[in-house]
Amino acid sequence: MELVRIEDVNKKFCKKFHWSLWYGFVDLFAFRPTKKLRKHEKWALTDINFAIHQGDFIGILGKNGSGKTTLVRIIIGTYHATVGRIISAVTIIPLFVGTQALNRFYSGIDNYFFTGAIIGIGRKELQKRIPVLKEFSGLGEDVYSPMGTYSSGMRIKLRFGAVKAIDPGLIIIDEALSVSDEQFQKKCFEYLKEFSSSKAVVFISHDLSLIRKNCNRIIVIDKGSIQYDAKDVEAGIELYQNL
Amino acid sequence: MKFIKNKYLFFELIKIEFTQIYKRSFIGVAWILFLPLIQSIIWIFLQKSGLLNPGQLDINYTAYILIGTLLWQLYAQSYDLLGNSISSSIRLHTQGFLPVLTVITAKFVLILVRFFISGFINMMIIAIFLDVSLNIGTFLISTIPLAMLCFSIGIFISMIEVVSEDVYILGKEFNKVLLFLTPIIYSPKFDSAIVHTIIKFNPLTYLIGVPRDLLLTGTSSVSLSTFSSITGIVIILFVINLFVYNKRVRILIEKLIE
Repeated sequence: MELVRIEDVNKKFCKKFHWSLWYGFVDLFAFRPTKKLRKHEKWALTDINFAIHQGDFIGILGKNGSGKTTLVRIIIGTYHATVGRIISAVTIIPLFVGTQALNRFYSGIDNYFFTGAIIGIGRKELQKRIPVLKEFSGLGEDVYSPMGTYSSGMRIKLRFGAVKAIDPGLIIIDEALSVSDEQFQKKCFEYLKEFSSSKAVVFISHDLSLIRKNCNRIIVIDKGSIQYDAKDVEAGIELYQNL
Repeated sequence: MKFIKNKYLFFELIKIEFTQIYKRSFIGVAWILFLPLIQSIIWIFLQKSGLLNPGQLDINYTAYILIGTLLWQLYAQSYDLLGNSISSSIRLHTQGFLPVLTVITAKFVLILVRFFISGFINMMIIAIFLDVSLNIGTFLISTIPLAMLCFSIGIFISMIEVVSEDVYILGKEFNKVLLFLTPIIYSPKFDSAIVHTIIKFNPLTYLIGVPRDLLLTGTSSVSLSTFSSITGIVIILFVINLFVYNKRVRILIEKLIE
């Protein structure tokens, strides 16, 4: 079953900050913003086409600046695609490093409620699932403490606990697990394996051993385009290493 | 339809707006009640002490100034809070797909709540201490065009602010001057021809003047036909701004994340 379809996605960026702001101004008033490249603009992604299916545990590989994070941001809707579209049949929760805290004054539980609200789950339902959050994150009563007091590892634990409690249709992890301890990482991958059997996981990492151990499909991105997309994990890793 | 679907998110955002502002305060949300009381006392003091000379007025000056500043604050707060609403909530946008109109509307609800509470306190003072009879129903209806203009300006400036903070800062400074070019503290009956012309062509003269006059006297001292024409323009601007915001704001959000 197809969960998400990425259809002919192209994305351009401007290399110069002030030119980027100027183009933002121009696009704001344009009847139809241009899809062509302007001065200082470059394609960050070109002709991205793939579908995420039920049972997929996709490892996305690529060098720094290859377009992995841009692709993820387009899938979750933070960025818009210059050309192409995303068709999603499921709710998606992203896990990034460093962007988990809504506000340092808010407690972990407030952040959990907010994440659930974005997905479209009501408060009553979220309240019912708090024990799952506490148990999986291992934070216990610390979930009621302000996020400002959390370490980066604790933030990931909270976010992962929230993911488990909310139970979305697709989880996207962009390097997020690298800051958590080994024991928690193991627990997360056990959960992700089980999760991906009925839903799907997209995992971005430079850790090839984790990719090898957990993924059943590899997508290799280089210079903004897909170089490889297949179930043969070893062949994908080999191609990535030879880039 | 989107609003109904995002009902819980909308209330969460309103909660965030309220707690974010008063989180570091000891009296917290009580400031919403406390601040208009202080402001009312200050204006009453300034007028009674003779420090303010309003010019020719047919109505109670203290009532005039309390309602004028109440309506002005609706405009000024909308500009200040909504005007930087995209850049100030960028952390929220990195959490995933967030319905942008829901975010800015939640901010506007906070402004409206403050407006209604301040309005209630001011009207209590006017009715009890100044013995002025109030036409609250007509006031509320005639304030709708001003509220629509405030929201329109807020969302328009919020988009511009992303690509040019200069416009937002300049606008804030301009508003300080505009306060004196709108009949809020002073009466519109000026001897200066230039000031008189500016006041005449300033839409806020009508959008603030009509609701205030209707509340305090039941009739309007400024042209109702001009008020109606401005209301029509405000509605058109409101629709255009909403359309542009929905279509373009995602492109602008990217500029802050890139």
